[in-house]
Amino acid sequence: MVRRIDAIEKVTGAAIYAEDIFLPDMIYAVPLFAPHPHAKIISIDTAKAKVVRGVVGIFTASDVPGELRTGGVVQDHYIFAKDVTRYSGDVVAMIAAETLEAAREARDKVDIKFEPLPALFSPVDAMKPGAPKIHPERENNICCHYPVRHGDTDAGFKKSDKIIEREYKTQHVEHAYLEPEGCVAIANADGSVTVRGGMQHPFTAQKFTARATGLPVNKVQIIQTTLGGGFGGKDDTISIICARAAIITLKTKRPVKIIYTREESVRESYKRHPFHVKFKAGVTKDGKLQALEANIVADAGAYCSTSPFVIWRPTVQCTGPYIYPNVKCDSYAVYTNNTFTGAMRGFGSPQINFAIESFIDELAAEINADPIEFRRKNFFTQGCTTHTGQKFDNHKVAIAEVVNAALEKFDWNEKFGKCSRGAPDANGNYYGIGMACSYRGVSLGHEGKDFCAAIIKITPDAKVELEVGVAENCQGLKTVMANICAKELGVEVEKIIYKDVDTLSVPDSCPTVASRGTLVGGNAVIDAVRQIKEKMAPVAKNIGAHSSFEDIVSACHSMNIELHALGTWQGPPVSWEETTGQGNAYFTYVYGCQVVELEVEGKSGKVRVKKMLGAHDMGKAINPEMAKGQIFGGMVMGMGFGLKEEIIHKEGVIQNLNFDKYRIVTSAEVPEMEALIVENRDPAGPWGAKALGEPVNELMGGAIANALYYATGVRFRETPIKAETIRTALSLRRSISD
Amino acid sequence: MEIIKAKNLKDALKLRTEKKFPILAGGTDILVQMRASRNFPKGMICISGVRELKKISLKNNKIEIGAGATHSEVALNKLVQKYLPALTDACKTVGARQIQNRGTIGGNVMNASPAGDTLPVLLAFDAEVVLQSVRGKRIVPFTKFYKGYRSIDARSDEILTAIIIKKPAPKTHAVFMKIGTRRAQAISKVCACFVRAGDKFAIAYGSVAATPVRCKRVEEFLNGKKISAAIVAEALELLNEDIQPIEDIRSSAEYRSHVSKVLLDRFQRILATF
Repeated sequence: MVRRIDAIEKVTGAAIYAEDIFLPDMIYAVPLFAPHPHAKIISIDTAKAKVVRGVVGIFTASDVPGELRTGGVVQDHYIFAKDVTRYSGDVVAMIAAETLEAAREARDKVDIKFEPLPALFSPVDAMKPGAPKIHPERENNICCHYPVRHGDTDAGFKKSDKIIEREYKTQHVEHAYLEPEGCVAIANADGSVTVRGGMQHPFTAQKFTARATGLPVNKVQIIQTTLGGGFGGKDDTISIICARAAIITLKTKRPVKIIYTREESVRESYKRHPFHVKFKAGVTKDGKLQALEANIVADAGAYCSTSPFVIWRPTVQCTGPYIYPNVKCDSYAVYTNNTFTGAMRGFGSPQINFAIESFIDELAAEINADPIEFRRKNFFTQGCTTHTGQKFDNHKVAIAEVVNAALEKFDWNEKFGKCSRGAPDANGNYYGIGMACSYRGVSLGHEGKDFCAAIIKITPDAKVELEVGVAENCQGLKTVMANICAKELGVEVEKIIYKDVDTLSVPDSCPTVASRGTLVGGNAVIDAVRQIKEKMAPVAKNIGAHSSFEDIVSACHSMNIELHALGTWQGPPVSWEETTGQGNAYFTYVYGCQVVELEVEGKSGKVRVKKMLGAHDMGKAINPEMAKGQIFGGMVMGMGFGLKEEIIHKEGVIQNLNFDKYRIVTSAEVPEMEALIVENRDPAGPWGAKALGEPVNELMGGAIANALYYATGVRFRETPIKAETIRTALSLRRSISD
Repeated sequence: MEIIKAKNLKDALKLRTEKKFPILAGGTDILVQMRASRNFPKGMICISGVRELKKISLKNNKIEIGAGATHSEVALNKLVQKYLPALTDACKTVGARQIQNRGTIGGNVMNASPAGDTLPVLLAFDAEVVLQSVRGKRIVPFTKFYKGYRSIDARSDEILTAIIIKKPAPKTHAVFMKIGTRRAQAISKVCACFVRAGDKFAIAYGSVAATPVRCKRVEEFLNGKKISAAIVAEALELLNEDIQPIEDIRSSAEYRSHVSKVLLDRFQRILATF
């Protein structure tokens, strides 16, 4: 078994998180939030706050030396709300003081006068013609739209024996990382700024900070501290917080620490997009899918963030792993005055797969087909062409393989026959199993450039310094990189000295997102090792076959051969045609299947998940134990999405800002779990490895909805499926056989 | 903020009169509330080290539980396990282990949340609370203690020192039940305690009204009757008159009303096994 290289420091408490940094003369800053989700700011009176003992300064939009607006895709996100607030998590001011207590006391004394504006809390309202515009510079509230036109859906419906339409809805979900946002910024003597903090992608923080401070990028150094969880959520918000900290430190010339409370974190940070999915499909009597029309509307909230990419991925994957010869899909993200939404583990796929996999089971039921046989009849096959016109011939199309492996291991056939199907047992309880499966594009695809770099430097005492441009997100990236490096070099992993990402050292390697860390980082490390080995080879030959690594390194140094290399990796080509949605969206794909067994207590509607199993083709498991950990964690998180978690907005204001009211799954509910590793090595990946982090989090919602159907006979089309909803539905229930 | 640690009960009572500071026991409710409201008192009197308040004893047929006993201490106590297993169960469902190790039964009573897990048990067993001040001692029946939403019959110089419960008669059957969102760290959607002593019933619910409530109509209907599914089905109709659940972030009024009935029906099934 491989040991995580950061395990000891984490379990002993020695790891340094942003909150652990204390510097002499350091001040603390806290955010002051919007008084109303959509309002005109009339005045900000700081007179009473400024005189609170210990206050150093109060910073607002007028203190931003560079660009006030920022964003990764569209620059519409105000670092400080100016004139208008667009959601309740907008920050109007930061209050800096000698102590946290003084900063908070002063915050309570700032008086904001404002005038509420008409606000929009549903994408449906926001899309109506004449709706008030949240960003006046735009034509309307539609943030982005992606179409796919493939074949002729009308012709496909004509060929069909049955046409079925359904709608599905999902909720706002909080990432619930253990560590709320935090950073410490220091103004250096040369006018540059250094920010240490917990972010997923130091290079986004660097860009956002440079833009807001007006400094050139090379005057902004971002160093990642130990990260306490991300799940896609430590990108925009923490980068904006870094920018604010930099602005304050540059003005005050004192180190500035910003550590969010849980409530501040949940209030300001982005959530997973709620989806409203409408499907219309045509199918023949013998179970062949003919046509699909899909309409996806996502709530983008107040700012664009990564919405276009989060909407694009489910557009590419809107069919699931099934061949529909004719497809028409339109996906939209729409601005509202709710909390803005962005990247979260899965990136649109937990929502769309909940809809797709529920729908497939509903289609099977409509034509009286077995849901598994129905899937098998329509699965992607080796060499097939998808609805974006991409031919799947460069990787193993493993959908049938993962489904077979999962079902066999789960004793599906035997258990499926035992499902209650709406007829409760003597105690009024129901039993059911359900499954869901998917295909998923690996890495960024057509979202943007796909690049990664790694630096290896071997010191004269034969230690290997390794720095990779993708970042540790608690997923175990450092361990995987160190192990690939050690094995490729032929040295023990203890020789590797892993250096955390420093934006002034390693090249920008695009964000650590899209489950791409292992693939892109591993390839860059292998490229760097190849160069080092090329430098060492002639020396090794000279000094003899039995010489040790130390001997060769020592010889290289004495011969002035620098053992230093920059390894790089460029993503294979991808393509996309915007108006028709045709192209080779991603350079390779992964396949997964998850199965769940559960019981429903009929009288209270409470669900007890008894067992979960995940089978995933990840190309190659570089560290099988950590891979299993990903599968377990992803399924549990998916269980929370399916059954429990929901950020509740009331008129744009979040009602559950902490974990007493926002309920994630606890260890007490975690059932027995099993993980199956399927390995079809991919030519694009290091040692054949592809992706795993997100595929494991995109299936459990749909599997649970299906299991609840085979248990209770009721189809639930909205997440989270709460005890209250189940109870109400059961009281109106008709069994499947009716 | 000034935190004064009371050395003993006498010291605590004196400080309470002199300083007028609120009492800090386990802090699992009051600290959370202070942080949320940003309303901090000048100081607090910490009673967590007062050993006299942790005693659990049986004297003259009365079980006396010190207000400073933590949920864990109550749950692990042999006397409580023997005579009041429903209270053991209730203490085991408060928050999770960490909260049970800090939070006290006295704190649960004084916090006066309608969702307090131990409160239906104390209410169903006709507990009495002992309030002390430098002026003396007062005993208030639990049924009179809660005057409205988070409003209690306690004076500003008083400290809750103990809870007294009459030792249940032999053949008393009592159960505690709770419906929450998950198995730990979940505030109740509904919690309840059901007691049958001979042919008399005591039924109390939490989280279904502004205070924990005794279901007098249901009790009167059931008293003297031989319990059966049919009798309980009739009693369920009366339950709606005894409880007034509301919709909040944890659940809906309709669901609370429904599961309240489910719990009563479940009690009937459990009784059938005795």
